[in-house]
Amino acid sequence: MADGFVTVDSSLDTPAYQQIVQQLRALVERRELLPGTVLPTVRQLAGDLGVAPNTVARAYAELQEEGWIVGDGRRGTRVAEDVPASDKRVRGRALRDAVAALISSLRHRGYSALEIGEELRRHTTA
Amino acid sequence: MDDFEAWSRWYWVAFFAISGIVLLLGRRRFTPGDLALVRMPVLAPPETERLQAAVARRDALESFPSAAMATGIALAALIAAVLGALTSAPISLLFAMLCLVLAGTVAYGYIRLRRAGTRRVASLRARHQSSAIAPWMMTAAVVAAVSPLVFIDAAPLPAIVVTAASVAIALVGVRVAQLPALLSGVDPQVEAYLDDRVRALRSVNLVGLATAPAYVFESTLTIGAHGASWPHAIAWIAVTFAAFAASISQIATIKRRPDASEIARWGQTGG
Repeated sequence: MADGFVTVDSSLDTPAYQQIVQQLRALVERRELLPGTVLPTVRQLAGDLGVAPNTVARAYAELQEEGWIVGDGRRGTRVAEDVPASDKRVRGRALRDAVAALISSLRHRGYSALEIGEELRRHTTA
Repeated sequence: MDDFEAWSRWYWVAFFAISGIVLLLGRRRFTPGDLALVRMPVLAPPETERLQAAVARRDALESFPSAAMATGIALAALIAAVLGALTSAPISLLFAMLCLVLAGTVAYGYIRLRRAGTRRVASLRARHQSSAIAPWMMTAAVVAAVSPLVFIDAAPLPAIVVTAASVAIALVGVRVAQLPALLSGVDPQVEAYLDDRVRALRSVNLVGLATAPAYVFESTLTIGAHGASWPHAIAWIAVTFAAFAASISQIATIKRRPDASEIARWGQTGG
């Protein structure tokens, strides 16, 4: 199994903590992060991403609230054994967030809504 | 000064001079990336290319001034050799000054690494300090670092300076093990492997290096000394073992190679 990676792109409109939440959620949904996997500490992830520890702490808190990860005392933060991937409402929100982040990134790079729409249609109908 | 003491003094002057010359000549020999590739296994061409490309990207991100740092230490060693040859300054004091330069250079290198590049990519694999430095090696380094204090009766100022320098180098070694990862994100799997390897090599080398000042300092006071006391002899034997153990750990870290599962992981992303 591959290691998961997260990136923070400061040129996006999406806040850094939200970028972390979206990527972690997607990795768990795609089962690239398996239930029980120990996640890095807030300090390690913040240092590696070059963001403030509060940013990662906020992302972890949101993911924990939604049931994707669990704080396990001294054993650290882990991917929850029973992730809410089957919850339609949560899945729908995750999809909307991911598409919004993608479109925001593409708009930022100068692509028009028409170009993005055509490309998305081409991929979804292929 | 009798003949034996004179020969002993010239021995240490030669040691300083040779160390300085070797460092000066070899200052461009090892970049941090080269260090990471030492004794790497022969990988299949695609993996080798990816690893070499990752090394080049890391070197560019770090722009680590290893040649300038080696030059600084080499010049300090040559100055110590000249002062040892031309003045009656105690060898232990000259060596203590050299240790200060070494510790200062190491601390500067750490600050450069801490500020290197722009960090924006992170692996989600939890890191532990013990995966970079074995606890027993830290124990050996601490024993070695504080052992010059046993010689405080023979050379008070040098003993304190060498202890401070050794402790500082060991602490930098620990801090290097805790440094954030430095990934460009172009080929994150290979870069994460390289980051782990460079981190382990640097921290083990620094913790090993922390044993060297104590070993050499105690040797300057023990080799050629008439009637060395028991505490001195015991401290010297302890620091000799610590330095030897540190060397073994360094060799083991250098020889650690990526296993098949690690290389298999490289194929799953990036490239």
